[in-house]
Amino acid sequence: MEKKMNEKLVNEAIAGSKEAFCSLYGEYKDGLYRYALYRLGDPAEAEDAVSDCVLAAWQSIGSLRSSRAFGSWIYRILSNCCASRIRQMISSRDNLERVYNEGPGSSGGRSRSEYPSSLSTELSEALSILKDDERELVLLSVIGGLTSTEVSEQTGLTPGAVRSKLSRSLAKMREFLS
Amino acid sequence: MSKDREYIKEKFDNDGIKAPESLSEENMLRMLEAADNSEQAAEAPAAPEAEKTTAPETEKTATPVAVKPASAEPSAEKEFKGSKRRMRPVERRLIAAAAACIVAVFGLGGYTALMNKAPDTGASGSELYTFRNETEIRRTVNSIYPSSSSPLRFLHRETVEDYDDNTLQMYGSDTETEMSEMPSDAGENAAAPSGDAKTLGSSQNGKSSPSHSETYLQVEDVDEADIVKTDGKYIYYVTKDKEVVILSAKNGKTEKLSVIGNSGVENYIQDIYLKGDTLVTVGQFYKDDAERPDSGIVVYDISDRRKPKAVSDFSQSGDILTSRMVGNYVYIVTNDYVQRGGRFVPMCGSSDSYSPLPASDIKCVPDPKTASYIVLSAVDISSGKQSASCTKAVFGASNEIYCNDHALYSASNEWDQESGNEYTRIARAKLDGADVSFDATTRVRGQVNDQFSMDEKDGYFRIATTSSRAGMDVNNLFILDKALKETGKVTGFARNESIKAVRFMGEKAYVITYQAIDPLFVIDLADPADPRIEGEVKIDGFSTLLVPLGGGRLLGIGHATGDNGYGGEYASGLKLALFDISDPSAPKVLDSKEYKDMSSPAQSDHHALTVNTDDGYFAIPYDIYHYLDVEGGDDVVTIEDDLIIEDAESAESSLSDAEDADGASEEPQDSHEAGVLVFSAGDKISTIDQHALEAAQLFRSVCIDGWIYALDAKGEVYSFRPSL
Repeated sequence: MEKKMNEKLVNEAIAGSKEAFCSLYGEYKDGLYRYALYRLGDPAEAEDAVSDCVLAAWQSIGSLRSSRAFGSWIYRILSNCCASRIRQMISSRDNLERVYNEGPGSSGGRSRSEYPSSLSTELSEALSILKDDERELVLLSVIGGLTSTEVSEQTGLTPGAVRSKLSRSLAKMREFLS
Repeated sequence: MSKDREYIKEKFDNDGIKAPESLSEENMLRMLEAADNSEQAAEAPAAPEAEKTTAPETEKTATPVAVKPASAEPSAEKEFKGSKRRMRPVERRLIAAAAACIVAVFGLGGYTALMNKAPDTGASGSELYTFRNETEIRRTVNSIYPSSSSPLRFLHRETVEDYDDNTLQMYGSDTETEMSEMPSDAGENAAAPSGDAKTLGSSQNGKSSPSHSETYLQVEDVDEADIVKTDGKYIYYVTKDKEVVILSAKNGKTEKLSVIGNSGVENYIQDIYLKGDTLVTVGQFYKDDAERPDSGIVVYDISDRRKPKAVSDFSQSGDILTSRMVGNYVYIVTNDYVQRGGRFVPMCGSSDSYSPLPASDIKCVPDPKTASYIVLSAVDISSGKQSASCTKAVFGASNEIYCNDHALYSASNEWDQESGNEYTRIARAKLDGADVSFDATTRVRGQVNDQFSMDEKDGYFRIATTSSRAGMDVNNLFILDKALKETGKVTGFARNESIKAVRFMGEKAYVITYQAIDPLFVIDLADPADPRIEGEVKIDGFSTLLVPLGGGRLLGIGHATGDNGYGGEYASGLKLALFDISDPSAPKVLDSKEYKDMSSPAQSDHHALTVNTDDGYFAIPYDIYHYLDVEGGDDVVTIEDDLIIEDAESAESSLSDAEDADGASEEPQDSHEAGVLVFSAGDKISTIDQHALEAAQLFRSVCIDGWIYALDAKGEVYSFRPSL
């Protein structure tokens, strides 16, 4: 059904059809935007990240090895786009929060008060109790739908580590939410 | 566990978040088409750097369009003046595309005129611009925030009028004069001591045989603030609650003597400095009605450790980026984003004399990209009075700072909308005790990794960057003279890899790049006009911190990497590597050690490295997560899946509904171990003690008289004596 359709679109996109690429993107856009918004906490930044991602994805569509891997592939690109936006933001903010909330060297999430009201406060607060890397796992897995192996490729953790961290993070979030 | 997952997923699914119209398929299609067009257009008439084989290079002195007040409003841009905070990339790219099309017709001149909305402050180069009046300033600002309904009311008319039209001074013709005053023996204190360093540490040399560790520094005698300091008798550290605790420490026992808290002002302490009986907190203050905090310091007299006494304070607007302490002077750098409403110049001063920075102290980088200032202050902590401080600002932004005892270099990422290239904007300030002044700027291709990517020696500034070329990372090293003019460079090395660590040591630079393996490059900088790669050695994993050891050896601290079974790699633990660099043309790996599943804050923050010069060992806090192996799961499946096609169903299915396997259905029974890793690095790397502690995540350790004290996230202190 949908999958077959997507596969066809991916193949057309790889063959050079921007239209196919964009309709494929349309299938994912809400998820991509949601991911970026929760990751970055700022609608404008999220918008920038998604459009950076679309451009980067189109330019490297040739590197998409399997027509079925589109989902994890585009989230991987988006994750990198978000990371580079965070790098730009991090130098100026959150140093304070970062050191203690996420530990040194984390990539600078925002404190919960900085999440704009358009985000689900409940969810963003639940996410804010997580460390940066945990948050990334949750977002990639739950919103992006990546498997733990795909997440491990993206994050550099072992698949086992991804599963453990993820289950712990999800449990923490649930506890917070209920 | 999968229940948790379903529960959370449902919450996300019902959060009502949808991609905005600007991200519609149609708009994305337009953007992609525009991008194509602009590429084609750019190829035709003028493709500035695109055709050169050695990709990155410093910006040549630009040929800026003659200074003129904003003339033609770009017609293309008007369409996009919506209610948004600023142009989205989509819009920028569409504009660029539209403009590029016009280039094709009218040539470059027409293009420049068309895009020249704001006063041209020197465009991309190192040319300097002096605003003639506030109208030009406003246009510059508006060019960054193009929307007339921008929420950022950057310039308040009444405030503007407080300033004379001509008092804004830019990097002007006086630059040369100022620069000629720069000391020429600049490099003496730069970076680590070379080769024959007497001790292990780089920063401890010359200190009077401390029986305690000190914060690990990039530049000797240029102190960096950290969350912990010790003087051998006491430990001072910042807790999770942003308070400073003063402990006495002797023979492994500690006693809490006092706490410096949020006395009066809301003061969120981030880091501290220590100098004799003076303790300086660095952090953020919330002023009465301010939406955002200001940053600054409070100076405490701690001659009575039980009764610290605040003696002075200083703050300035903006978010703290970093700080340094040289002698009695603390240098503070903030990024001050321009506020909605009200204030449009930086503020600074002590709490009773907080006031706007005079326009004469504000300069502007060419073609600023963000509505913010880099604010730099020098504060004399021995007097602490405002009169002993000096603040200067540059309209621009900063990401990383390199600082020695007489100059501070700010590096900020810039993206050139027209070429799509990444640059680093460099702005330099002279430091002379309480006197600071920004005196030069330029930009180079690529972006820096961290503060260690920069260095100055003998008046030459050296900077290593990673840039993107045809979608592939390449790496560069530039040498700039006192006027920040390029004298030499090495470009385009380590294709498809990016810089992970750099260390400058005198006339050599050591650069670690990484993609799959980790080459250490030795770059000879002896001739500033002709830096060249002298040697390289490859090793698995990659270092993120390089520590000169003396005796022709170099220690790398970083990540071990493992094969993930399908051609990729993942970080699998901590790795220590010991390099022999005595023959720069043939560096060797003397030894390396991997600690599986271990991670340490020292992998990303050099302050977490403790050097015990007395006993000749290093200590770093670590964490190990022991993960249970689970049978089944998605591992097997998705490994094949990734090898292409067959089982991507499982990936797909995870998009639609929660899959049991992936949600980690096992109860987590993993264990976590925190501790301090003590090791020596002589001819080999030897683990002295992997000391597990009943602690949450550890951040730092310090050494006093043979004892190691470790601090965890909760502010608990653990001590032990490593068996040597």
